[in-house]
Amino acid sequence: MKLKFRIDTFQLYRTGIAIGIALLLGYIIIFFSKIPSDAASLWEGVRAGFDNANEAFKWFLLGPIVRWRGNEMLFNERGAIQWLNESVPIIITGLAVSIVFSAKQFNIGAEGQLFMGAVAATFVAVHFPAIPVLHPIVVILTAMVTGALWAVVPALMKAKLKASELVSSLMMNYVALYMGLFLIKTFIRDTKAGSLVSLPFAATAQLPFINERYRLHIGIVIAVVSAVVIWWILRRTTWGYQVRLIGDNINFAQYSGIATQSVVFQVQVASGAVAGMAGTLEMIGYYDRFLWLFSPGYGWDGIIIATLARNNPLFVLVAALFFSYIRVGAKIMGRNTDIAPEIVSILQAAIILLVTAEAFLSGLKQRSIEKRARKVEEALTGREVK
Amino acid sequence: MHSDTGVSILEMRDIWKVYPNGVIANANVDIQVRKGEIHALLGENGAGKTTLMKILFGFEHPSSGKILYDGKEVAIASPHKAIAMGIGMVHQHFMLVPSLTVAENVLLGMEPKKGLSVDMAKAFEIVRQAGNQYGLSVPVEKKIEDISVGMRQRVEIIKTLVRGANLIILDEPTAVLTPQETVELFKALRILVDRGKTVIFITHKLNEVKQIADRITVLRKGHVVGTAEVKDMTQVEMSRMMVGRDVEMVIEKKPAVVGPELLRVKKLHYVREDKVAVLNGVSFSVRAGEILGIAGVEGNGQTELVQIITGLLSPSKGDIAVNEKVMRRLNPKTARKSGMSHIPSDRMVRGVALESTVEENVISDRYFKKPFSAYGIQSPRKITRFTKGLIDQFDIRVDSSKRSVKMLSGGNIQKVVVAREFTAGAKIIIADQPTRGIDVGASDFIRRQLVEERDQGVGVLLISADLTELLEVSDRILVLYRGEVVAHFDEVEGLTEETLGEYMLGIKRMSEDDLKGYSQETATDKEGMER
Amino acid sequence: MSDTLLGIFSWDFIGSVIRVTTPILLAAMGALVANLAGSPNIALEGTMLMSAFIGVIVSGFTQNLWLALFAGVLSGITMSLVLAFFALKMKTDIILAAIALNIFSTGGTIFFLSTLTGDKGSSASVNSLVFPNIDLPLIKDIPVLGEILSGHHIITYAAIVLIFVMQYVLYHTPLGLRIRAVGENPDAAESVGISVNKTRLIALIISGTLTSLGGLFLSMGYVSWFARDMTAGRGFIALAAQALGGVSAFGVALGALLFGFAEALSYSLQFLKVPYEFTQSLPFIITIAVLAFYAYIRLPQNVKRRGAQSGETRNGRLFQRVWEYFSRRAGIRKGVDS
Repeated sequence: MKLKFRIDTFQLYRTGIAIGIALLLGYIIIFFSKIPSDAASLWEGVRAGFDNANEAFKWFLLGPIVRWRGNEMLFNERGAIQWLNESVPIIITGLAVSIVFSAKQFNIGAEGQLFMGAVAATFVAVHFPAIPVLHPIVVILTAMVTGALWAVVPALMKAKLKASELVSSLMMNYVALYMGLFLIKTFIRDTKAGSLVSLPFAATAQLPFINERYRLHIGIVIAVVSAVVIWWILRRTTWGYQVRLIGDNINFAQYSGIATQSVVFQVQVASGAVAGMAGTLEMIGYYDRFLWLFSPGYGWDGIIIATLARNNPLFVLVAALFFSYIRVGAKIMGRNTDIAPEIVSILQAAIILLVTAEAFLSGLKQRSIEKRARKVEEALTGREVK
Repeated sequence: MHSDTGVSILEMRDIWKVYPNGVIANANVDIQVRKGEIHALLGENGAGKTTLMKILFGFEHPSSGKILYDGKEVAIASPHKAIAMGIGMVHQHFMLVPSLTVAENVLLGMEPKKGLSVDMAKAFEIVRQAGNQYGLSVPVEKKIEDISVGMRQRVEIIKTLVRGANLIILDEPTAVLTPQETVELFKALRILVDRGKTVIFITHKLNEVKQIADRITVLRKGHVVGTAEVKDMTQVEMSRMMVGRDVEMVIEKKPAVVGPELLRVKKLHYVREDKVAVLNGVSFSVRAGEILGIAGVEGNGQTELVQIITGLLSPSKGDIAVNEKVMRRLNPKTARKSGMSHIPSDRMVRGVALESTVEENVISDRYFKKPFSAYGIQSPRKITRFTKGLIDQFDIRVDSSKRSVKMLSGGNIQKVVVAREFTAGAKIIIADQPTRGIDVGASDFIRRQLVEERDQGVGVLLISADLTELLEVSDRILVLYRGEVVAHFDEVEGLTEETLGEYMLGIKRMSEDDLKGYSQETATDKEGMER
Repeated sequence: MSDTLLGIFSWDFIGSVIRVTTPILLAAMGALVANLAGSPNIALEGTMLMSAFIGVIVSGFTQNLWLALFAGVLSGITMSLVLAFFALKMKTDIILAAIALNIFSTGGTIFFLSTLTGDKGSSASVNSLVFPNIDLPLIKDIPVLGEILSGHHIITYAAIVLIFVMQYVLYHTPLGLRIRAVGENPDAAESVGISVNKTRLIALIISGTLTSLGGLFLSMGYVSWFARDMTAGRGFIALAAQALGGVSAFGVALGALLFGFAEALSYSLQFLKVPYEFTQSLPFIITIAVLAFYAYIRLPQNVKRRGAQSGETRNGRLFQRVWEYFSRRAGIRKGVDS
């Protein structure tokens, strides 16, 4: 199979510029927050600000893959593994959302779907007979089925009643949160533990490790494979073709004889199934029990990642790895300086705002469209067009 | 009649409007409107009437030309400016807010105030008075969503009046009205001109022009055909000006070899959601190897007819039979399965998916079949090969089959649609305005293809606003007027556009007896009774 | 048992309902204005959080309540301005822009908190002022009634007044008329010279202002400190309250009250061993059910038209539709009788 990318160079430029602006913004904020208030002179203060910001950015930009011993740069195995591990859930939610977005539907229910998926998975991970290999598979399937079921409610309301999925899927998130916590608390709580956590999973439920020391589990492999599979489904199967056609022009799809209503329903449910496993992979990979007290927010991340990736599952990988990289970088920066790693959300917000702003650099886009139109014209007529 | 002869309130001189895509909507248009008259702007759809009025109201800007209002040259940059100058427009699609009251809608943006609040009592009074002054009484306290379409139109007129309009443009105002409401509207228009207002009335209905207008300007294909006093003209003369005659096209056509009946439409009725009956018992049949043309001014039920036949819309009453089998569950999928293909009238809405590639667009009805896919998996190479074949066969000007359709010109987009629909292996082709808005070369190509399909034994239903095309291509022609078949011609030879025009515009209609034979109507009736 | 029940429905309980309702109510009214203008504000959550934070910080560092109020409200307005700039001017999808703003607030407040105080969890080290509770003169001395009506927080009183103010502004002033017109039919508004973008900007600013009051109440009324994520989804709950309450400020107030009631009840019912998760999720389930019902009664004319497959959906004017539905049913029955 040949992978052929149709990369829109304009989008690439624009994303690059947006990231650049965001990084600059981060640098400026750190710079100002790191000018010591007791600096001897303004000049001293400014210099200290620059020094501190440079130091912070060194950790931030390189931390996940580099560690220093003296002046020697070494590969930071632990950081890189953390980077990969943290990207798993957001790759999965990014994929889930990109499926619905491909059909131009909206779904902010991934959060609840993955939460409920993880809750159901917990029961299976604790109680299912301890059969090696089979156990994690059953756990993941349970999570997927639960996620899909959780998506059925808003999907049905949309398909049968034409009720907006926006509010209903948001509501389902809260129902999932409260019901999920209730189920954990009532039926499977570890009473010996200090906080509200579930009983530990059976050892057989654990995902295999690639690197045991830093707990690199095969979740990342599952995520990458999922991305490729979903890309393949969307790009190469007739079902994916229907989904994309609906996303492009639902009237045309209907006119062509596609059962738009049922495909839209299927899309919502499929997305729920994918979202369902997002939290579970992390839980049976990195942790050994259910320990969320709040919604983890991966569903929201998924919306952003899918948007940045323009709904292309392969780009979802890139976008999620990028997000996870700057998050881990920020954490490492936070450990080595006294700058709160949460600054990374300011950068994330800036990137989203700029990348999704249609009017941002649209002049540039116009020029590129004209350039391409000229090229097409030249190719057709064989003469130069001015 | 009421006009002070010669004193013009508006003159538009040598107006040109060329859209960015190269379509010339107005060319060398001169129009002069006298103070206090009702001036009808007459023309077919696409003749450039609406563009001209949009220019006048500041929605569009002319490529060149001059506008004189009250003797002074003006530049109308925006609707706001037009309103300030005293021009008001009642759009075909009303610009009203359904959940607000009549008074709120009328006074939106210029509300009377008492303290901080809107003075509703005063608002009611203002609107009531403005209405009464011109014989347009409206229920000021009711919400727009609760009043009839005719009332809504009055509200729109009052909206222009309270903003001080002296020149009021009405864009096809009677299209949405019942006959009674039309009478009321005309009364009101008379009062308006009696009180010194001027009215421009866009229409294509000749009887209305005769009833209400003082003068007409006729537009055809972006040009002014002429201006005249209504009292000096007969409806037939007007229809000739409007329909006109263009250069002859020559399409070689063998005599039709007619086969068995493929499509039958039985007593189709359709009542729109706003309770307007759009189709009133339309019946006809299409046989293999013939092209049945449907003539009619747009808005006489053609859109609904096509949507019902192709399964996009359910009829209120009546049946569609394909191959003499009544289609019970008709939807686009079953329609296509039964051997129908459909060139939709608006290619941008239904004909293509713009962001998708040419390949993705040409397989939209057959993506699940071999060789385009097997076991639910697409075969990209075969799709590409097939598409390249179509690109050659239909002469689609594009450098790659993977180019997204939005990069193509209008004519080439239409060729993508046609390429798909002509290669679907259909026995029946529903071609709805297949050559609208595309260049001469592409149009000619598509017409020849239609004839070729017919020679292969396909039944073609051709709906077109282009009479030259209809006469050139069709073997039989029906005329649709107000949702009814008012004429049928088994012989196209010798038929003229003028004759068609008279039926299309409701000047003439064939008697029941004349119409009886055109589609074995009696046989249908019997069959219907037996069932 | 009956004692406990009595305890639940005590004056304390009513007080607690009013307390937890206040921030939801303010944000829900913010949602209402923005929704009516056709520019839904999903950034309520982030706006609340930001104002809660700014209020505490400014009050802590200046020890001036007025400045804190001013800065808190200003931060809410700023959030709205950013949203408006990106959504209206830069053509960002308004929902995505709002999600970005929520992310910004969640992390940004923690970052600035830690930069300014060195603490990432809460602003405990900052000595913030609080907005006072108010005893209503005269009324507070009336037995029962005084206990219910008096002694609440000043922002609570403000919120109650604002219900009426908002209803008045939205349904009796030119501005309200324009906001509703722009939301329902932007073309109609534009055709009479009302700027759609300008009107939406104003609506978003009002939305930000109301929501920021809710945020200030959380950090400077409820408690006297800011804690990370202290809004805990109240901004989203406010969206649900608005969806439930429809288009009138009174309806929205009722919607907010339902959520407040459920939250307060969930605390109280814990004594009865009713898991608080049940009561907490109840309002959300009710909202889903109401939305489904609302969609269902709108359905008949849609179902008939097989052509209507596009995804157009809209929530709003709930009560009116329900009312029409029932009156139509009643009308039909009457028709049969006669």
